[in-house]
Amino acid sequence: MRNVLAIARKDLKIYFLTPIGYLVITVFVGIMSWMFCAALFEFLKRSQAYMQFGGMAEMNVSSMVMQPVLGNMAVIFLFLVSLMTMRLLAEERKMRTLELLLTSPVYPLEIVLGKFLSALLLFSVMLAVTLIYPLVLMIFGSIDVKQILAGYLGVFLLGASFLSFGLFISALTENQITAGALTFGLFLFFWIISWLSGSSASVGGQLLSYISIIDHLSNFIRGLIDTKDLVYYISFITFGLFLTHQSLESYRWR
Amino acid sequence: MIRVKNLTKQYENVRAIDNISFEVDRGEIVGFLGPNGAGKTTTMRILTGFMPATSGTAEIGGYDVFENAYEVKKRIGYLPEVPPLYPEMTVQEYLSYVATLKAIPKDQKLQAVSRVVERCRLGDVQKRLIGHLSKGYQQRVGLAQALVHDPKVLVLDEPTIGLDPKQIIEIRSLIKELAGGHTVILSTHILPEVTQMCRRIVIINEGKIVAVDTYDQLSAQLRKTDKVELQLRNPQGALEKLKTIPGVIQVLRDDQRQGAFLIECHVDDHVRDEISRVVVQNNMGLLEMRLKEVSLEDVFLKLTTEE
Repeated sequence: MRNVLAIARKDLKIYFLTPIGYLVITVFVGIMSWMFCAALFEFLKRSQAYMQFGGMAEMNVSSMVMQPVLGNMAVIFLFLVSLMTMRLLAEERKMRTLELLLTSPVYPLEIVLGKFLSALLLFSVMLAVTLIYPLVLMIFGSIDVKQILAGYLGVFLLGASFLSFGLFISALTENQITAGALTFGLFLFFWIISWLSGSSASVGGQLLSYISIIDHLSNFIRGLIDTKDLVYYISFITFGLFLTHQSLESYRWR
Repeated sequence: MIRVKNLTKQYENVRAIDNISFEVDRGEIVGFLGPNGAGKTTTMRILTGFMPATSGTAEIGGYDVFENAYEVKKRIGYLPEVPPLYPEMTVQEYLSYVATLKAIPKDQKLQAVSRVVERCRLGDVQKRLIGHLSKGYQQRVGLAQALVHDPKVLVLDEPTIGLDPKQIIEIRSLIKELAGGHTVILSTHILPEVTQMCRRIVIINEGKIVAVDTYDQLSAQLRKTDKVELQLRNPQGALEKLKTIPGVIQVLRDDQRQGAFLIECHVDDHVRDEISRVVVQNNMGLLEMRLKEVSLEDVFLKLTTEE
């Protein structure tokens, strides 16, 4: 456990010793804030129009603003994952520091978990900054805290799944650019799968929608925590970490 | 301390090391000598638990490197051919990170780092980024990394490669200081290095051990013929006369110096005795006569080309 934390701390530090940490946080928070403002103004415009025509019921801020924002958050993060994971193991291989890790009294699993934790912590920071949006919304009316927290849980799990697979791809090559491009391409594909699944109700469509990593987010965003989705994400994360571990082990056998 | 028995490593279609066995005693510095691609790095990677052998066993301090990899890793320090450094970190951050990985308890970490900084003379650069250091300093940081947990066994893969002569001398003296307290196994393809630093030499070629012995023993073994250098004032006709001496195999004239000859003869004092008599009796004017020592260079060339 001590090794896991040491490795996580070191990699988290390297995120901020190189520009990558600042870059992903700035891009993520910048784009998300833009989207949040856009959604908020849209909401204000509509609610004004609604009141002019004498609408009675108060409009739901949580679902009208936070739902699209959280949905977009997943997509924006998809574009940033490759930047966060590409160097994690590829660079250790290239700099031969993996040799140091594998000849120290450290288990490969500790290396995998440490690396994963460092990326997860950076992602958590990025998410934590966006918690300011629901706080802002509280000015305009009451928010559905449970629904928003469920949405955040979903985005967190989705992000963790992305990161665990990105980590695996980084273990496959010693070139970070290759790892980054591969990760980016793969996740773009995961995203596009859901477009196809939406248009067909056949068994194939259902299957695609089950595979599609983003489709599992929609329940969370609506405030529904379904065991099926939880199991999906947790197995996805575990599988990614397992593959990373296997590829580290196999590196020694080659 | 180190016991290697019938170790073999087979890559897809190359046998990197082939059935090698040797032992290293506690406190000894042993040099692993061989041309590039002889299997030095492979052997070291197996010893450090980085990769498993195809067959055979290796033990460090009584622990099998494969069965008890964890225990072995706690007891060894390893400096790979390319020192495993993070250029973004400062020397101090890096060493403290490695100290944690090497399972040094938290309260002893600071002490361990400052001890190794002093030992490898890194005091002046400990706050600087590793990426900004010269190659010689980086190599010292690599050595410090291998030493931080005060391991019983040190495995150093080509510790002086790519350094300038001054840096080489510094690293060598650092390594020599380690003898006694640590068991050191180091690899190199530079001959003078082993004679300077190591008591015993393991010569390896194409995956096989060619010889394990001390330098003196090795050169004695190899003296199948003696070489005698001769300098004469009157060399006229000397070549023919010297050739007729029984026991002389061949006589070569040294074109660089006037009147100098190199005589190869059987290992026998009487032959040299006879040479001197012939020279004096014929009034050739003996200026100099000496037995040429066999350098390890010759040993190495011989061992790796002959057998």
